[in-house]
Amino acid sequence: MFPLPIYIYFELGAFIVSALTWRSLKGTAFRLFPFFLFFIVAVELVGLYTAKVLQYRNGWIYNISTTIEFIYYAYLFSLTLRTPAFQKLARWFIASYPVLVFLNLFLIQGFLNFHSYTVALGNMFMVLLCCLFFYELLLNPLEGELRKVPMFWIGTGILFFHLGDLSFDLLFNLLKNDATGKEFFTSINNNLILILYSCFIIAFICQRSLVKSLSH
Amino acid sequence: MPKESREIIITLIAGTSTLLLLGALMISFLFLYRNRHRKLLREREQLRLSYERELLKSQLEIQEQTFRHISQEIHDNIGQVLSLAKLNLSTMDTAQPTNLDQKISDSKKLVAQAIYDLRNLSHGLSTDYITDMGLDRAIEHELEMVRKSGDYQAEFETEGKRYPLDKQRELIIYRIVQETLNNIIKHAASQKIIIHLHYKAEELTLSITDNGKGFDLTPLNHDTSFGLGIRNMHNRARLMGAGFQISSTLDEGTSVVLNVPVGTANTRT
Repeated sequence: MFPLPIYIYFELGAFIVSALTWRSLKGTAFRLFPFFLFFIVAVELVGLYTAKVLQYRNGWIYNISTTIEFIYYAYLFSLTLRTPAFQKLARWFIASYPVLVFLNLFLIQGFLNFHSYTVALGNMFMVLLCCLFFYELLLNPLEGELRKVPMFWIGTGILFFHLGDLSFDLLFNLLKNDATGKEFFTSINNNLILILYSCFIIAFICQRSLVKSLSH
Repeated sequence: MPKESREIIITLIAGTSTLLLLGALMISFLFLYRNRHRKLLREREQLRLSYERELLKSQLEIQEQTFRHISQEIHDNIGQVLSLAKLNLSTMDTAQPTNLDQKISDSKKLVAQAIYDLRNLSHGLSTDYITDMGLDRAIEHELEMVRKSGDYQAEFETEGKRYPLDKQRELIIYRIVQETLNNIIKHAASQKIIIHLHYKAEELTLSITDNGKGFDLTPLNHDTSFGLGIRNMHNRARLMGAGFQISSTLDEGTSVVLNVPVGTANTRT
């Protein structure tokens, strides 16, 4: 299991920063972030332990974690999007996505296999929600500097991560028996994880500075 | 590596790269757009601030000019009239009733004249009177004072149906008129001044013409210290989005034309 892959350290780093900046996240849309990141780190460690030490299949663990991940991101967008129709879309996704995952696992891909179809759907939705968020940012130029807006960083991380994952999910059936393809995907995915969690860390720091500047 | 596997990997890399590139383009566009928009907003704010600064400056200048005028009026006119009234009163002789009646009557007239002049002056104590009486009357009032000097034949013409502009614009236009008249009195050596106001649907055109000695406009393009007053007027006109032209012919006279666009902001506030 050791040495741990570098992306786990980034996830752990994001969790630590979120815990350290918890005061400034409290009372905002990001209040659940430390718990979410703790969950992600735990899932990664358990997934790794299951596969490397116990030598069991760990697909079911990621089926649960990715579903929760998509729901949490959609929840974040439902709180930060301003247009009622966009908020409704995010809420609709939160309500229907677990049902779709369950139906996929039960009827199509099986519980022990990775739910690539619903992950691809989730990725597309995340990209759509990010686009809607950026569209709103474009329409509201009165807000402060973009690089100081925490949700901008979170949106950027989510956008890049899910855009990068999308092609793999769409080619999953072709790639699942191809070791070289999987290796390629893993290296792309690991780098995208670094971008995603770096963006989260920047967002937490921005949020802290924002709260600090408001309190002064 | 099998051919099929290679193709899949190439597709994966190409697909991922394209999508990531799209994402990067989207974020860059967002950054660029917002930066440009913020810059535009900053420029607009700066323009608004300099407009307000100019407005305040105009108000102060008008006030200063008004005070100068009041002091001159008190010294040259009201002071003289009251001194005369005082002289009349101090030379009254109760032993000569016929003369006394005449002197009382003269003193009454002189005091009435002083009251009338004081009332006229009191109108000029604040800059508000310009906006209260409207641009036409304010210009007419200004010309009346020029006429009073006896050295000029001053005419005021209006054309078209009169409409009010917003107070700030009227104040700036009035200040430009005042500045131009000052320049004419100081430098033009003219006998005739004509102010023409043309109220058109899309713009208000103001022209001030004199038949003085004129001057060479060329140094305006080279020497920044030359024609500070003119530059000031031009700057003021620009701030309210108006066009400002000045033309002059030696020994024939000078003409100043101001074109004020009548937009949505032309209502009195």
